[in-house]
Amino acid sequence: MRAVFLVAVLAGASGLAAEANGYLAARAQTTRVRALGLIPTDELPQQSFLLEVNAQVRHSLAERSFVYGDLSLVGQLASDYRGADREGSEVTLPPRDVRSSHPRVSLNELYLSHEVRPELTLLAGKKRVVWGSGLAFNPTDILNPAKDPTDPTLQRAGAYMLLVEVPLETLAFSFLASPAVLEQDAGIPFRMLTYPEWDPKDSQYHYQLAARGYALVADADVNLMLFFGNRYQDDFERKLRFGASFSKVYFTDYELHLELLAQSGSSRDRVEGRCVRDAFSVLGCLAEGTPVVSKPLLEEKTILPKALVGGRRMFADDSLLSLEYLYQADGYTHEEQQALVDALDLLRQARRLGLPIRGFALPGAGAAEGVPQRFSFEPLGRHYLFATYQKPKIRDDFTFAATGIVSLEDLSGLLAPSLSWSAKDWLTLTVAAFASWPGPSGLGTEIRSTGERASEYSLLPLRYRALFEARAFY
Amino acid sequence: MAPRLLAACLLASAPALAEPTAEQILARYDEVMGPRSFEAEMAMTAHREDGSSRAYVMRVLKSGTDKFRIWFLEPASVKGQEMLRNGDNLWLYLPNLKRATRIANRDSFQGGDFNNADVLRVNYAADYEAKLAPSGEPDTSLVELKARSASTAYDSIKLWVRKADLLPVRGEYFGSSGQMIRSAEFSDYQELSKGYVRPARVVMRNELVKARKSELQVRKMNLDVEVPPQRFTQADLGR
Repeated sequence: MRAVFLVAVLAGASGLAAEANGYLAARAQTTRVRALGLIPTDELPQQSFLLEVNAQVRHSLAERSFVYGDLSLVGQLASDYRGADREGSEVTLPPRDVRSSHPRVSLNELYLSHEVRPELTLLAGKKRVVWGSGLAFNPTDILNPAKDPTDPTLQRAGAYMLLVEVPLETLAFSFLASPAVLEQDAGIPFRMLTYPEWDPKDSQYHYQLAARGYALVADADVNLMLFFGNRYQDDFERKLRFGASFSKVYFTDYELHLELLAQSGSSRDRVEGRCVRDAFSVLGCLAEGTPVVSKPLLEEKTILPKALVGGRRMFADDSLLSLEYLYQADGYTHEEQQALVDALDLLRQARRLGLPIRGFALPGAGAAEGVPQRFSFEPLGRHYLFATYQKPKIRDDFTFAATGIVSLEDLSGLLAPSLSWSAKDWLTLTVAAFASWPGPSGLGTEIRSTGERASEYSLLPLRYRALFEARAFY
Repeated sequence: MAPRLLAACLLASAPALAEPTAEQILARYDEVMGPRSFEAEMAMTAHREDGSSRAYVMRVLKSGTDKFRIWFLEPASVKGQEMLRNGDNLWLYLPNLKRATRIANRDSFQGGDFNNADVLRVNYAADYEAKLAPSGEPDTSLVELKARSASTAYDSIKLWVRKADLLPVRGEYFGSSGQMIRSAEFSDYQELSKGYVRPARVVMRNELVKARKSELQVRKMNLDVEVPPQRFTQADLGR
């Protein structure tokens, strides 16, 4: 009902406004799942088809006041589920109703913007605000749903907020308050800031406050950010964080950027290694009241920064090479990754014994908020390299792109090449693939029950994925 | 206003004076092709090797010598994209990315044969040193421009202007190797605003791929605009 209401509102606005555009996208995707891997693939279809209808409507209310909406309706068909039986053999699973394949509404943005005067703008609603300069990943982006590093343009969804902006000639200041969405159905939120009485998970306020100062200094973009939040998309309470970013073009064609988020502690889940060596150690920890999975660094006072440094080279033929290095101090150590693999291994053994246990949500296994992503990136370790190459204008309308993500600790990674053809100025056809590689076995962790080696990207529940997408703009 | 007065004085007394200097021709070019402030609607058509073409419509805003902003209106696949130039800084705003990224002056303008600097930086007097050269064509003067720094879009330019009013007729654009990269023809001289005449059509040919060319047509232009400086800030992109 809410979805119908939203569509009606946007359609009504469309009728009044002069500006409406969007696209119709159809995506056919085939995936070869890792059915015998540590992550269950029971809800990951090998064949899927997605249809997305997107509308972007801008309705001017006055000279510098407008309402903007960006809405996608997504329908999906999914089939061909594969999994493992109790003997550890790959089997075809019966058709199933998977929640992540249900139709959904992605209200990417919906806001009212009013320019009180050129130096003061007010905004209320849902908007994707990104202040950091990173291309594939933004450490300072703690507001929005994560983007797909293999194609950052695919994530359009933002966060609900009140935003005050003070733009000056070479300076700008922004202040925002964002309530967390706590309850939603099919992409439509119905509870923010506090949990309802009928579902009292806690009695706290869930919010993020942020302030940003921007300066154009010596032909460089410099941002300084301050965040203060309470249980906003993580378990931090009254957490103060500091962010900074920098971007500048050197020697005509070389862009250099830096992005930093400094925070104390980490809200990342960690597995207690001594509790997952075997089934008896699990029982031992449960008996003594030691949690197997916890957040031991939640109250840690040490600063654990996330930093990204990168550069782009823009060539004379319009091709582009981007290299970015990500460091996150709260990433898992080798021992912590081994503990995670041990836990996943025990869970797999338990499932094979017929115990009704589900796996963890790991990179590529979950569905982020917003339009379903081709690939979702949740880095586990500490050191990553992103490399992107784009070569447009191959025979005029063809663009080749390839993105690689490498864990610099175990050298496993993911390669995502794509070829796009702008067949018409309103139609783009894309073929893309995703394939992971495990890295040298000596750098990975061990699956104790089998003696096999595991690495971050060999944990992915998919071996490879290929897709074809047609996107028609209007 | 000063360059316009200079040009008017120059033209009024033209019969009595010697040929204008290279610097005066360059100042006149900048004044005609990049008036101090304007709002315009322009269409760019890129003709490709296979005979097909792509057309773009954009709204352009300029303030002072070095502030430009472009909103792409058509086609639908690029609607919402914006470009901003402030001094030597260039940004491209992509609505799908919901943020601006820095780009280089040399990047091709929407994949056509103009580059960003051709459209977003018309300030030859600041970027190039000029000298007069024998034209070889009747009723025209030729100025040869040499880049003052490596950050300009071209290493050198040959620019032919009409002797009668110093409006541009033709341009040849060279890379650092000395090879001609592009050539331009200026035509369709129109009074787009009161007392303001300029070539409304510029055809830029790709001299490396002869079958390629791009046309820039100025559909309308208003010189009487007052724009707050905030329109030329990164924070305003996407609004």
